[in-house]
Amino acid sequence: MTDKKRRRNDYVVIVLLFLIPLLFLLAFYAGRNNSTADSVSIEVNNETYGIYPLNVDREIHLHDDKIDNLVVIKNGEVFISEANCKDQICVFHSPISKQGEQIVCLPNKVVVEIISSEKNIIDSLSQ
Amino acid sequence: MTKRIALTGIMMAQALVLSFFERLIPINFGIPGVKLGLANIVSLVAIFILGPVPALMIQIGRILLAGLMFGSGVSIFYSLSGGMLSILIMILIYKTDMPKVTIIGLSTVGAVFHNIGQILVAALIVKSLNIAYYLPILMVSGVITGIFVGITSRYLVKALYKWNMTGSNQSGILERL
Repeated sequence: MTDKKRRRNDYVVIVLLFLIPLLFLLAFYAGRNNSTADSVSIEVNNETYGIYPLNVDREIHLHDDKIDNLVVIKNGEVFISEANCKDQICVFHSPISKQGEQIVCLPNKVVVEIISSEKNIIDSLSQ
Repeated sequence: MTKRIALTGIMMAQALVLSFFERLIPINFGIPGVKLGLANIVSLVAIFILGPVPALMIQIGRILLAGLMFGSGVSIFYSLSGGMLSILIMILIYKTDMPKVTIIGLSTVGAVFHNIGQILVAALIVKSLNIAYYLPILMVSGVITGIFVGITSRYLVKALYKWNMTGSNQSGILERL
């Protein structure tokens, strides 16, 4: 039957594939704590549609001949409440509020992302 | 040979049913792209009992048919990129036997590369690498589902081998499970 060496290699592969993304996640969460997330950037078709402050409640209606998405900013959180795409993944996505979080509607090429309007230290260092 | 062709057809149908069944499961994990990967059971079993070429054919057929029957336009490209990357990597590891892993390790690697392929195409479509922010979460979920898919496939291959339901020259696969 299965020899021990194979079994051991299994464990090595699984642990590695588990640890690598965990490290990335840790680095990601550590990196965003010291930033001030206060704005929402909306991108449609790879172009910036607009940047809105997080602390003002409003509804942004993205509308043209093909796309129809309703982005809602409420109580410092952002979500998409309506979309005309078939899969509705963006509508089911939980509200976002932290730096770097995003909601993507791939069929309509809409990207909603939380950003900070001030450049933080990490950003200016990496430029 | 005839048996091999018949088995390939049956398994393609099974893979298609599993793809459909997975869409029926009403669990929303909150993150797009997180899924069980039930169809990968068929791919793994096919690699072991039929060999790489039929496994590749089953994967291509399954994705095209599932995409045409219940997909929506672009969605076929995501499944295709993830599915192709995943099956090719699994076949490569199986063929070269490097690293020497069992079907469970193979399944885990396949699941993770499925997610990597999908993220690559998504990044190409929205022309933003920021979307790679999803990748770590998808990889962790891929490892977890990959282990269970691997265990299921292991039992299946064992049973099919016992009942002599394999392609022509698939000797020695039990040692590699």
